[in-house]
Amino acid sequence: MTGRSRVSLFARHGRPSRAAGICAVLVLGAWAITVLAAPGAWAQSPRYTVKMQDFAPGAGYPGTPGKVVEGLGLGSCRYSVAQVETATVNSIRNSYRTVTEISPQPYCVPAGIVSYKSKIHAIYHYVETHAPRARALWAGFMLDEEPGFGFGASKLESLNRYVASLMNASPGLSWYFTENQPNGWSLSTYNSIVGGSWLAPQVYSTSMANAVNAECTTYGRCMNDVTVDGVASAPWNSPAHVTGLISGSSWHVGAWGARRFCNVWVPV
Amino acid sequence: MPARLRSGSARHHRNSISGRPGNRYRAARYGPTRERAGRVAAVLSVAVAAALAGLVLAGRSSASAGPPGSPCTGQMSRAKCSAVQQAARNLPVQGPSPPAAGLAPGMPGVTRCGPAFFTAAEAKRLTSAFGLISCFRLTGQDQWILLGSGTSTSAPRPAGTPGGAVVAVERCRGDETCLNPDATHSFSSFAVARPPDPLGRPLELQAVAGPSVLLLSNARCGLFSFDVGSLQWYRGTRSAVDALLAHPGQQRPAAVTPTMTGAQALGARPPAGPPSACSPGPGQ
Repeated sequence: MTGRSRVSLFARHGRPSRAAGICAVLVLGAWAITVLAAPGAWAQSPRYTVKMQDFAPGAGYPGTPGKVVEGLGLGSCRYSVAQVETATVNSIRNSYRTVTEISPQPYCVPAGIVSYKSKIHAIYHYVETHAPRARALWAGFMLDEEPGFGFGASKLESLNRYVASLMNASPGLSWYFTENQPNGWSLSTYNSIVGGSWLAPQVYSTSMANAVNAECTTYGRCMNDVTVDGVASAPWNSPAHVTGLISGSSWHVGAWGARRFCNVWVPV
Repeated sequence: MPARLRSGSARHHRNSISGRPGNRYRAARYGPTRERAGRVAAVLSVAVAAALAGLVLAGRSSASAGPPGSPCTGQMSRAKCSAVQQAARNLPVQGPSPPAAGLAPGMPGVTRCGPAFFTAAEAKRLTSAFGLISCFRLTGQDQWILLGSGTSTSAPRPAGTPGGAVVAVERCRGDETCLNPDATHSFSSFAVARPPDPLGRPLELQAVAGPSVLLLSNARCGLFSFDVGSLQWYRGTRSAVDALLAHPGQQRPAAVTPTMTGAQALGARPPAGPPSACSPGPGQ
């Protein structure tokens, strides 16, 4: 650029020239477009193609390709370890892709995390022993670890480390999910709790979606089996809407084929 | 061209020694012009930087949304990582898959309130007052159940709502219009009960038991069962639930909370007193 053109671009009679104005408008327009376009870029991709959904031990199976045994808190709460074991094995024997969900709560198991470890070990051992196809069909545990359930972060981290070591020794695909409320903790605490689990965060609100996206942006954990409340008011009951708010990709494992999942919670 | 450049250079040189008397006019005239030019340049620089930042951020989000993530995690052994990535072989063929979008199929036992169950204005009021709303009817039962979690759905960070958490029940008593999930209802015809700790959020439905018992987590206040028939709260243990199902109406409630109409609840703030019914004790 010449000395004259520089002067004519920036100043004419002491004011910015028309060219400078046009440039500013163009640049600001480009900035506005990037800002406005950004939300559309948050949708999960690849998106989910199928769902997994809860069923109660002893009750009928959902019609979804993935079945989640809703075992709740065990101990003195709704279902026993034996009921959860049986429900898991029966689902696998029916050739269903199966996950076993447990919601650790001191209310249900006063002995705390140590007792949960032994209960999870018992379920693991039973399933591996009684369901020969577990290595292909059982994705392991889904631990519903919410701040409101009463366990602190360090105890949940301890439990998750134990479950990781347990499942690492299993012969098949089985691992563990954490179904957490990501906005209920600080981001770093949430990241520490979920550790190396498969993420199945509850996304029932804007702040939950924001927290899931922050985990992706900050820690690179971007694959989520997003949990949707199937009886929430619109639009929060819609997996399409909810996963459209989430960055990264939907959950999948090669061992379960090309399908990609979201997790639908319904009262059972 | 070189002459112009030289001219500019000379002008610049002259201005740089503006203390000389002959250059004061030029300094006075071109000094502000240069300042303006500098300001414009600065604004443009900031705008360009912002645009680039936007593009980088958009590209980053697209990148994170683009390539499929690996199911392997940092906690997995090499063998486990291999196992989860290994392509499926001889997996059984299951029934037809549900469509990717739309309502979740196979929700046995639950009828969800339709999109027009409340008018748009009333739905908005309910969400503003009670947070995330869940609304459904257990199959075979003639009562609609509405839960307000007490937690805002729209706030960027976790936040409570002015009305706190509620459980509300509308009894249809065989009225076919009332039983229709697509008919428009009014919240004023619901009976509303507050949880033992109305400010303890979120109030979460964990499970249902039998035709009319809900298992609800009242945050750190504990786990409770709620009898939809009597609108009373009981302990959340298996033995308490079993007793409630076997002998309804014969158990001692864990908490007695006031009930009100939907209209009253919408205009009322939750009591802030100490929740006496909290922590009935693990395992009790």
